[in-house]
Amino acid sequence: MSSLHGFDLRMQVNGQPVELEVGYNELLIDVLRDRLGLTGTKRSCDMEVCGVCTVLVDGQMVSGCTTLAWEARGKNVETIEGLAEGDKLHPIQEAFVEHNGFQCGFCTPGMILSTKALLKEYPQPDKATIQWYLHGNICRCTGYKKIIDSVEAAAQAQAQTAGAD
Amino acid sequence: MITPLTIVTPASEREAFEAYQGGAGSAAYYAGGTELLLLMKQGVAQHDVLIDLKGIVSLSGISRAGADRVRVGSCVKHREIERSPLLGDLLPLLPTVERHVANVRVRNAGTLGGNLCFAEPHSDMTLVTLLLDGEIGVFDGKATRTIPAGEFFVGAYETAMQPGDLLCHVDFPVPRAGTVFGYQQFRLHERPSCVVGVVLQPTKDGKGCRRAAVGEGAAGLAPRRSPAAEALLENVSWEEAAGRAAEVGRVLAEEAEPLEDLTGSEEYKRHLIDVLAQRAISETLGRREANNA
Ligand SMILES: Cc1cc2nc3c(=O)[nH]c(=O)nc-3n(C[C@H](O)[C@H](O)[C@H](O)COP(=O)(O)OP(=O)(O)OC[C@H]3O[C@@H](n4cnc5c(N)ncnc54)[C@H](O)[C@@H]3O)c2cc1C
Ligand code: FES
Ligand code: FES
Repeated sequence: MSSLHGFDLRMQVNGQPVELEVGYNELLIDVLRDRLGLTGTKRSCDMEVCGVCTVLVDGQMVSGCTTLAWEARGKNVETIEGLAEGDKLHPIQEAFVEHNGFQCGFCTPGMILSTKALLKEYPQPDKATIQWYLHGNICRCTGYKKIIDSVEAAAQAQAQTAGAD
Repeated sequence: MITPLTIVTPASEREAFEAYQGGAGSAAYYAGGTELLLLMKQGVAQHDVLIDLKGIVSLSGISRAGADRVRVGSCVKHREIERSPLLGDLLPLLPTVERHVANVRVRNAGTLGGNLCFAEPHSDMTLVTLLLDGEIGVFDGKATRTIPAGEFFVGAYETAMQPGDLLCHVDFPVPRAGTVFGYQQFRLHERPSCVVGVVLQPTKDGKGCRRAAVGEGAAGLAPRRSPAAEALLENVSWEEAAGRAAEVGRVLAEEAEPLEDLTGSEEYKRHLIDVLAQRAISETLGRREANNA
C-alpha cells in the first residue's frame, strides 16, 4: 500500500521475489542490509567513489549508498549473497580465492560484483580494460595486482565453460 | 539521513513543470540522483517532493534531429552516450570523453541533463557541450526555448536556467566530415582538476583548419572557450596549426581564471592548462594523420 512517504516495493533480490513497504527516502543499501539482513554489501565513502556498496540492478552496477530503493521497483537486484550456490562458490569467487584477490575482504563483494558486470560486457578483457572498468572500486590492501590476476583468471574460466557448452 | 519525502512520476514535461510549481519551493527535479542525493544525505539540500523525470519519454533517447543535428535527451545516461554507435560515428568526442567520466556506477545512473544543470565546476560534459556548440532546449512552462551553450554556463553551480525550468535535450550540430578533436585531463581524484579540449574542422579542400574550438575547464568556476586561442588555429594549414601549439597553450593559460585548491595553486594550474593544451593539439593532429593513413 502506498502512502505519502512510502510505497510498496516489489523487486527480486538474488532471484527471490521480495515485497516490503519502503520509505521514498530509503537508500537501497539500507533496505538490503537493515531490512533484508544482506550485510555483504558494505558502506564506506558514502559518496559513490569507493565501490564497496556495489550491487547489480538488472545486471548494471550501481552504488547502493547513493541509490534510492525506489529505483529497484520491478527490478532484479543482485548482491554478493546471491553468487554462490549453496557451498559451491561462483567461478569469480573461486578465482579471487585461488589468486589471493583479497586480504581484509572489505572491498571484495564490490570487486566481485563489478567483475561480474565487466565480464558480461567484456568477456575477454585485456588488462587496460580491467583497470578502466574497475577503477571506481578501491582496495586499500592488495595493491590491485592480485585483483587483476583474479579477474583475468575468472575471464579464462568463463571462456572455458562457454567453450564446453 | 534523507528526510521523509514523496516521489512523483510525471508523464510529460508540462506535468513535471506543474509538479515543480505545486511543490511550493520544496520540490526538486530528480534524474539519476548522483549529485542530488549526495546533497540530501549531507543535509545540504532538503526536499519534500522529488519529481522523477525518468519516465518522461520525450527526455530519453539519442536521435538525429534534422539533417545536421543530433539530439540527446536530458535523461540519457552517461553510459548510453559512451556506447552510442550514432554518436561514435558523428560526434566521437562525446563517447570518448564519457569513457572517463566518474566511474561505471555513476555513469549507469547519472544523466547528461543532470550534469549540465548541476554545473559542477569539475564537470567534463559542460566543457564538451561548450566545445561542440550544444544548443540546450529548456521548457519554462510555456515554450521550449534554446539556450546556446556559450550562454548557459554562468558560474559554479550556476546556469542560465530559472527555478522550475526543465532541461529537455541538447542538440549538437554535426561537424563537417574530417573534423578531429583532442581532449586532455589531469585527475588526482574521481573528478578532474584540469581539462583542455580542442576541436578542429577542416577546410573544404582538407588542407588546413577552417574553424577551431579551444577551451579549458575544471580549473576555475566554469568552462571557458578562448576566441583568441581559436583564432590562432583558424584558416591555417595543418603544419601551421602544429607550429602554433605553444602559443595556443600560452594564450589559454593566460586567459584562464584557475582557483587555488587542494589539487594545486593557481600558478600550477596555469602551467597544467598550458601543457594540456599543447598535448590536446598534438592529439588532435595525430588523429587527423591516423584518419588519413
Ligand atoms: C563520484 C563522482 C564522480 C564524478 N566524476 C565526474 C567526471 O569525471 N566528469 C563529469 O563530467 N562529471 C562527473 N561527475 C558528475 C556526474 O556526471 C553527475 O553526477 C551526473 O551526470 C548528474 O546527473 P544526475 O542525473 O544524477 O543528476 P541529479 O543528481 O538527478 O540532478 C542534479 C541536479 O540537476 C537537477 N536536474 C536534473 N535533471 C534536470 C532537468 N532535466 N531539468 C532541470 N533540472 C534538472 C536536479 O534537480 C539537481 O539539482 C561525478 C559525480 C560523482 C558522484
Ligand atoms: S560507499 Fe558507496 S561508493 Fe563508497
Ligand atoms: S582487501 Fe582490504 S580493501 Fe581490498
